Amino acid sequence: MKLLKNYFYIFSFILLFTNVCYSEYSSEFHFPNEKEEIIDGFFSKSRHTNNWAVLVDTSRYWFNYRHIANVLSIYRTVKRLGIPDSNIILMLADDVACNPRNRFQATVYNNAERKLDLYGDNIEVDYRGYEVTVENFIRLLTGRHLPDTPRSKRLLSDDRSNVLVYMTGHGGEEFLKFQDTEEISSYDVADAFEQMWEKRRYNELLFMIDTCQASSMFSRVYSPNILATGSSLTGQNSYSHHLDPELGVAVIDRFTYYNLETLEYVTLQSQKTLQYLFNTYDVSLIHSTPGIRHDLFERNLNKVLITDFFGAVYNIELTLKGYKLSRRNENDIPNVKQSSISDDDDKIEKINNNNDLIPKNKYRMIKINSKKSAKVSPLFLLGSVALISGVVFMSKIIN
Amino acid sequence: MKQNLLPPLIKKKYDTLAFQKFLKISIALLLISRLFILNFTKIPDVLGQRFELTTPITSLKKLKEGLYLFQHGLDPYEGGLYTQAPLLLFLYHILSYLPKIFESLLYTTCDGLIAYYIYHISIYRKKNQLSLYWVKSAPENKFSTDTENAVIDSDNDSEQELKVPPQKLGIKKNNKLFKDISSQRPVDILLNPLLVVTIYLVNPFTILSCLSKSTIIFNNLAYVLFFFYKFQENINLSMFFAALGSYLSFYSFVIVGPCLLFLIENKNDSFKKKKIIAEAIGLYIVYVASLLGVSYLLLGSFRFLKAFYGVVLSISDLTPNIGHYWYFFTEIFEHFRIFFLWVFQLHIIIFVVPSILKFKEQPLFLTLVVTSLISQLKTYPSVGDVALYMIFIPMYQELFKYMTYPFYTLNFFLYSISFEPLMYDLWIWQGTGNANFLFIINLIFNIAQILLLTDTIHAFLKREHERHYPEFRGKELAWK
Repeated sequence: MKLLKNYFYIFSFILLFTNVCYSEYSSEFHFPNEKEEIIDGFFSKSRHTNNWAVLVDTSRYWFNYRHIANVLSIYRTVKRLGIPDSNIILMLADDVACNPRNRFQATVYNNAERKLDLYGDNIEVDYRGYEVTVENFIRLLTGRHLPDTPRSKRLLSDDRSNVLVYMTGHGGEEFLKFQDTEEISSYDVADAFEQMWEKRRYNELLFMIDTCQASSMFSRVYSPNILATGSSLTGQNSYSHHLDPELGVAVIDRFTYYNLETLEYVTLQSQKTLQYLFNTYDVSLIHSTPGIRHDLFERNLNKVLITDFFGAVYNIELTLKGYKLSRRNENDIPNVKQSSISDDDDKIEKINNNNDLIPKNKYRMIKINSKKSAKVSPLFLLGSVALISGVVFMSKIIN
Repeated sequence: MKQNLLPPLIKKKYDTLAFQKFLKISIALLLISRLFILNFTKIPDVLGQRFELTTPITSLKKLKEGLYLFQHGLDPYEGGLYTQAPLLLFLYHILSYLPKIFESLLYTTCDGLIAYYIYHISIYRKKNQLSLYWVKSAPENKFSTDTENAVIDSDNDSEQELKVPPQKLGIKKNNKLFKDISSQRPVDILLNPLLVVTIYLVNPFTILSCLSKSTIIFNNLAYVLFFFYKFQENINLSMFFAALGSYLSFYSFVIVGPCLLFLIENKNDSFKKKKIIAEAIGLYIVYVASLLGVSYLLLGSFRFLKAFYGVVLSISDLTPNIGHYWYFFTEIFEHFRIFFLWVFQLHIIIFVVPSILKFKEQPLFLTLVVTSLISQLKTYPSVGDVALYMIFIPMYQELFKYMTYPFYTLNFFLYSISFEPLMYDLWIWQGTGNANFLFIINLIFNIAQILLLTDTIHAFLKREHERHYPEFRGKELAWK
C-alpha cells in the first residue's frame, strides 16, 4: 500500500508539472479590453503637451465685484486641475479684497454663503490695477513685449500648448470695455489670435467670455483650432446670479456660475468632455443663450476633455524599450579647443576631450515585457522532478 | 521492576460517540468556513495588512509583488521588496494560471493537512500517555492516601480497567478530576485526538493566520509533516521536511537536533546510533543543498541567499511585528549593530541544547519546548508561529492541574492581544502614540508566551518528579 501511495504521489507530481509546462509554453496573455481602451485614450487625439491660461478681468470699481470673483473662480478651477502659476496669466483690473468698502477684508467670495475664499493666500496676480490695458493684453497674446517685461508677464506658450483665454467685464456688440477708459474690438481679438497662430503660440485655444453680447466678441475670429464660447448672443444681455446682502454687491455672474456647477466636480482624472459641459448650459437658468463657436475647431467636441483646457493633464507615451546612453558620441559633442592667448604658450593650447556632458558609466536598460512571459526554465522543472523522485527513492532505500 | 510500576490511571470521560461526531462536524465546518471566507469575502485583504499576522518574510502582498516582477522577466529580488523563499514564487506562479478559488483551496488544504497530521501525532501522544508508568509507592509511605477514587494497585486489574466502562468500577460521576493530585496516581483524561485537532482549528491564532494568507502556513505544514514522519521513524521523509522547513524559514534547523535524539532513542547498538545520525545529517544536508540548487535553477542566480536569508539573519527590514528585534534595531547605534546581531542570534539557538539535555527522554515535550522557543525568539515572529507551538499544548492536558499560574498567563495573553492592535493603531494611524507603546505590548506578549512555556515546563517536571518519586506526590512544593 505504501508503494502504491508513492507511485500515486509521483504520478500526480508528473501530471502537475506537465500541466505547468503546457500552460507555460502555449498560453498567450492579453491585456483585458478595458486596459487597451485606457491605453488608446492615452494616445489621445489632443496633441498638446502643456497648458496655459490667460484670465482677464477688465472692469474696476467696487460694484464690479462679480467680475473679479468670476475670474478668481476660474483661476481656482484651473489651478486645482493642475496648471501651475507659472503657466497662468492672471489680470485683475481692481483689487476688491482690500477695498475699504469690503466688509470682509482680504477675501473675495463668489457665493453669498461665503464658504470659499477665493483670494486666500496663494494667488499670483500678474497684471494688476492699471496694468490691465488693451495694449498689454494684445502684447501678451502676440508675444511682442518690451524687452524689460518680466517672465511672469509673458505668455510663453509654444505650438504644443493648449491655451484658455477667459475674459469678463462689460461688453457690447463687438467690443469689450477695459477699465472704463478704453475698449477692445472683436477684430483686435481676432487679429491677435491670428498672430498667435502664425507664430505657433498655441495648439488649440478655448476662448471663454462672460459679458453682455459676448458672442459678438468671437464672431470675427478666423484662425484655426479655436473654440469659443460666450455667455450670450449678440443683442442679449448677460446677468449676474445673486447678490450678497452683507457685501451689498452681486458676487457672481450666471454664465460663470453655471459653468462652475459643472467644473467644480471635474477632477484630474475626469473624462468629461466639453460637449458635456456645453450640454449643461440651460437657457432658462442662465437667462441668456450661450453662444458656442466650433467651426474653426478640428476635433469633435465629444472627444475634447475638459481637462484639455482647464487642467494640466499630459499625455504619456509608454515605451517598452529604453535608450542606451553611450559614453560619447562623436557627432554630437564638439571638441572644445582652448585658444591660446599668446603664440608663445603652446602648452596651454589643448584639445579638451573630457566632456562631462555625458555621464561616464553606461546605462543598461532592462526590457520590460508587457505580457506575462516568465520563462520557468526547463532545467528547474527537471531539477524539481529529480528532487521529488529522489526523496521517494531514498525512502525506499533507507526504510 | 515491573511490579513496582503502575500504569497511568486514565478515565475516558469525553470519549462518547456523539462527542466525536460533534468534533468531526465542527472540523468540517471550520475548514469549509475558512474556504468560504478566503474566497468570497474581502477579509483576507484586510487581514493581510495586519502587522501581527504578516511579516516581511511571510506577507502575501510582498509575494505578489515579487511574483509580478518574476512574471515580467525581472529579478524578483530587485529592490528588496520580496524577501521570501524562491520556491514559493514558483508555487504562486502556478496558482496564477489557475482560477481564483485554487488559492483559497490551497490554504484550506494546508490547514486541513496540518489538522490531519496533528491527528496522527496526537494518536502517538495517546500511546505515549498510556505507556508512562508510575512508580508504586511503598505501603508504609505515609503520604500515600487512598481516596474514594478506586485506586487499583495490581497491574492486571489496571489493564482491564481501561476497557471497562467507568460506571462499573464504582467511580463516582462528580469526581473533581482536576483537583485530585493527592491520590496514588492522578486521574487523567485520555487524550482525544479529534479534540486536539479541533482546538488547533478553532484557535484564533490559526484562524487569523490562515485567513490573512500568510505564507507561514507552509512552514507550519513542513514542521508538522516533519514531526509526523519523525514519530513514524521515517528518517528520509522527516529530514526532507526538516530541510523544507528550514528552507522556508531559517530557524527551523534547530529541530533537527531533537529529531536526531529521538531517532537514536531506543536503539541499543551504538554503531547503529552513529549510523542513523550520519544518515540523517547527510540526508538533511543533501536535501537543503538540493532545495537551494533547485531555487538557483529557477532564478538563475544565487542572489536569493543574500536577499532572503540575509534579511532574516541581519534583520534589515525593520517593519513592526510582534517580536522585539525591530524596535531594538531602530534605536541602536550602527557601531554596535553587528555585536547585538550576533548576541541575539546566539540567544535564539542557545536554549536548544540545554533543553535537549534536559528532556532527552521525552521527545514530544522536547519538540514543544524547542518549537516554542524558536517561535518566540525568531527574528520575524508572527501569530502563525504562536499557533504552531500551541498545537502541542492541548496534547499535555494532564499538565494543566500542575500549572501554578494558568489564570495569570491567560490574563497576560488577553491583555496583550487586546492592546496590540490598539497601540499599533495609536502609533501609526492616529499619530498620538509612538513606537514605545507597541513595543511594550510586544514585550508583554512575549512575557505571556514565556510564562506559558515556563509554566508548562514546570508542570511537566513536577509531574515527572512525582511519577518517579512517590514520596513527593500530593505535596505542594515548599519553594516557589
